[in-house]
Amino acid sequence: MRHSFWDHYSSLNSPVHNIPTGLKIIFALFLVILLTVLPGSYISFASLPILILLITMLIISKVPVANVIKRTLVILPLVLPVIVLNSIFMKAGLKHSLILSVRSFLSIFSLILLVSVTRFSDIMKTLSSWHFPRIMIMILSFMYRYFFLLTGEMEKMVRAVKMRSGGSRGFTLIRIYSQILAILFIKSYERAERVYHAMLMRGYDGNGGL
Amino acid sequence: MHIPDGFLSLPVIISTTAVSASLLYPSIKKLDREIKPERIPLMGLSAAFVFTAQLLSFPVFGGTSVHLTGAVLISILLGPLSGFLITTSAVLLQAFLFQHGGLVTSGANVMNIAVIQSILGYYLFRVFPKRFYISGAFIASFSAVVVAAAVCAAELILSGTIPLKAGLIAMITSHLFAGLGEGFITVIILEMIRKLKPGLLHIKKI
Repeated sequence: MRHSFWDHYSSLNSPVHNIPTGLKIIFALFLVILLTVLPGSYISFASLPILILLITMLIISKVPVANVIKRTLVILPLVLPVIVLNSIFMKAGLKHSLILSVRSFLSIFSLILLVSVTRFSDIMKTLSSWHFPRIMIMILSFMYRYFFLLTGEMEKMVRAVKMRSGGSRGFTLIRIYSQILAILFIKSYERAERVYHAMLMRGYDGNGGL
Repeated sequence: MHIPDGFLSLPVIISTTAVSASLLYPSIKKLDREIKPERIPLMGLSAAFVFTAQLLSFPVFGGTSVHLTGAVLISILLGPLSGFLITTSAVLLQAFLFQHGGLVTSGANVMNIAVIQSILGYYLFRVFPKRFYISGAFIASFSAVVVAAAVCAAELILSGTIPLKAGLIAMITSHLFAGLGEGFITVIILEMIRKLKPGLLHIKKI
């Protein structure tokens, strides 16, 4: 099981990790909004200071820089088609797409930094104290706790199918994979029942917090 | 379909966020009033299911792959408002943990994925009489994906991110394929659940 793989570094201890959660959320939000509203001509000036700021915070926080850079690459499959489309069909398309890429790269960088230096449960607590709807917080917390488990179950089923099916492909494979998902939903439903009983047993009254 | 930060202009962000928030608020109020406590773990686990299911990529012809969005499926199983909230949570967590999507573009992503697919998709499904359960589910999930892609393209075009004609054509044609996949996968899952545990098709729909 790859528990906490994605925000593995959020439980480190550093000056950046110790900044109050609310402040970190607001700072990340501020940066992303800034990157969204700044006109294109300002982006080229603003991008360097922002990048330096982010990298400095990253170094202080002891989160490996290479890991973060690798994770920012997740936007490439989204940015590349846009660059291609723009370069072919728009005047000044290349410059336009470059600015666009800088905007989204820096935004994603700040988001990854936020996730890497803040525990998920702290974010939920902060949102909760900001009167974020309780039901959403509950769903998000359940998701966060159980998707590692469900992913593990799904991987087991996929591996079992691969071992036994001997290279089925095309529509057969789509059918088999869909059936795996059906089983996964049934298992999730049954797990939800068990979880609810366990919660009741521990004194859950339907309004409890986290 | 998950629009990252930096791809949308401020007016588009504000208007899509307004649409999403104005639908989210009454839905949360209504659900808070009407659901029983045991529904919360079910919604949480269903959200985790949607999240996990999106990670499974189906290898299809020519080395490409599709994955299930699951928005229409979960609305068919649990009802439109539950589906709406579940899909919204999935979109938010994906933006947050995996950076699929963005922070300030969340409103737009919630509109494309949760509002259009979970709510409109569900009501499209309901248009079909009970006899056409399966074909209704297929058509609803297919159209939900394609319409969502078209709206997503419109948002990007209005923001000046992609060119009008080419952008629209590229988004829609690439999602015709994803829509077909979504339709087939949804239908097979529903059939399988009907065979193994038919009771799950009759969970109270809210």
